[in-house]
Amino acid sequence: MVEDRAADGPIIAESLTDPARFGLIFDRHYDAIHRYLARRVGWDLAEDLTANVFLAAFQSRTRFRPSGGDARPWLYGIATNILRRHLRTEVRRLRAYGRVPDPAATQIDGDALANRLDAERAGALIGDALAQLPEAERSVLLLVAWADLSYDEVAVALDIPIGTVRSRLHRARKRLRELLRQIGQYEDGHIQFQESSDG
Amino acid sequence: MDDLELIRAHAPQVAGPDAERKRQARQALMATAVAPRRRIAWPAAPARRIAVTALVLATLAIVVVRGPFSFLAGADPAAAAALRQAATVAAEADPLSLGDGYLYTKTEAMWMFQAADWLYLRPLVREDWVAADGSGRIQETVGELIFLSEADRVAWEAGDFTPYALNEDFGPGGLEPQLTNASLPTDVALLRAAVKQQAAATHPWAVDSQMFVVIRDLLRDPLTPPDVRAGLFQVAAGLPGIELLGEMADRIGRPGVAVAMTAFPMLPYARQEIVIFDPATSVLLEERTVSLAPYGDTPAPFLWGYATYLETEVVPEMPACPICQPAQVESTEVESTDGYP
Repeated sequence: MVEDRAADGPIIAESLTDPARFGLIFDRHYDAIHRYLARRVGWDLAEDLTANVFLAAFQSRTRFRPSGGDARPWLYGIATNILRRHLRTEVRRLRAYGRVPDPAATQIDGDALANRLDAERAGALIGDALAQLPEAERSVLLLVAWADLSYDEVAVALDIPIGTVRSRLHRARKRLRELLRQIGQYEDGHIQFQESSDG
Repeated sequence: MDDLELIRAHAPQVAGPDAERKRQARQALMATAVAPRRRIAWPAAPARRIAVTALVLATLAIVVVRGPFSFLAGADPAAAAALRQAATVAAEADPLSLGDGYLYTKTEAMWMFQAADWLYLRPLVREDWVAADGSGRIQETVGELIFLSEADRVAWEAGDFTPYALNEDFGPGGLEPQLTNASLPTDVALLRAAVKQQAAATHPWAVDSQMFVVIRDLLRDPLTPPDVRAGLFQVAAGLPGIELLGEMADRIGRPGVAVAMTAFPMLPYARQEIVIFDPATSVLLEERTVSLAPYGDTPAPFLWGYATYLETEVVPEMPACPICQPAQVESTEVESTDGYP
């Protein structure tokens, strides 16, 4: 039996004859996959989807091809495929994330309130812009930004050439910047809020 | 802060997983270990399936005759001789010059696409036009998907997916024409070191077999200069595990010589990479990948994919393409190991 600190690949290979070993893959990656899915479709649905990701991964583990021995690209690829069945949920989630709470409902004063509202409004604008991206581009963008995958790993996750990863990411970022400029006056890496008439 | 950092900084804050539901998920996962595995049945089918099956059987026969673990025998003198002969031929070839035109290549390919819920072969014809400044076009025509089982088809159809096909124009720099290959050393020892460095960077646990893949990718590119191509054949000739499969016709009947290398010999990742080249010109005609390990319940060996290089020429301009997405990309790079020039 390989050491528990070994790369994912040998452990997955071992799980072909000793299925319980796959539990180690679950233990290593469950939280990260859950966090990624929760950001995309919400916490509650993420609980179910994350379980499905690992069930699907376990059932298809003979198909795992090592890419640096790391199972993350493979798992995120499965998660992305599962997410495609919940596109509408994701868009609703992103737009809901984009709703700014009523300032009157908060009990925070002064600069703290201003900072919090700025952060929430930035999140609102970004969520709205992400919701408008085509799914293929959004997946590449969020696998890089939220899952911290490299371009190579995204290529493995989505089973597409790395050139396609780069072109989709380029288009997504360009489109996102345009959207942010339109709705939030994005300039030089900052979201500059338009003057609001509601105080 | 760029836009990526902005997205990271403002990612939705979410709570960690519920401990009890995580425990239940793990329990359910472990419970599946005792469930019976589904059987993948090779579907009966269309003419294309018959053609693919014939190719599988032909390739399989070679693998069986040679033995899936013939790589253990070390370097094959016959393969080395054939590759050194190819090096001599390659060195005498005329370099390809793009001028103001486009390098046009047409490839017919079929590769396995995998996901958790489905597995299919995606047949396609891909045409590329690449100018010296990296502008150009990729145009793909995807054929009817071939699913390995009815369960794969059902899963695919349930997802309401459409097969991905790239039809896009690229601006300058959008398609790297791999002219950097011209800067590779022609000295065989230096070239071997450069190839090894690239192979080790991506597959440190299987350097020799990955060196074969790197060499194949460089030989595939029509813009790789003749003296570099000659050096690459020489480097391939010295690779431990290289095998000569002998005379072999490609899918459209062109006669060639096939060499092969086994990658990831440890199950369950074993596969064999096969390259067929024209001994008269040293040009690559076709490449195939054969899985030497079972896949799901599909027994090994079986054909994982192929790419047949149909046409390569320099053309003065690109034809009109109403369906192609206009050029948007400022920069990208192509790191192909999937059978496309």
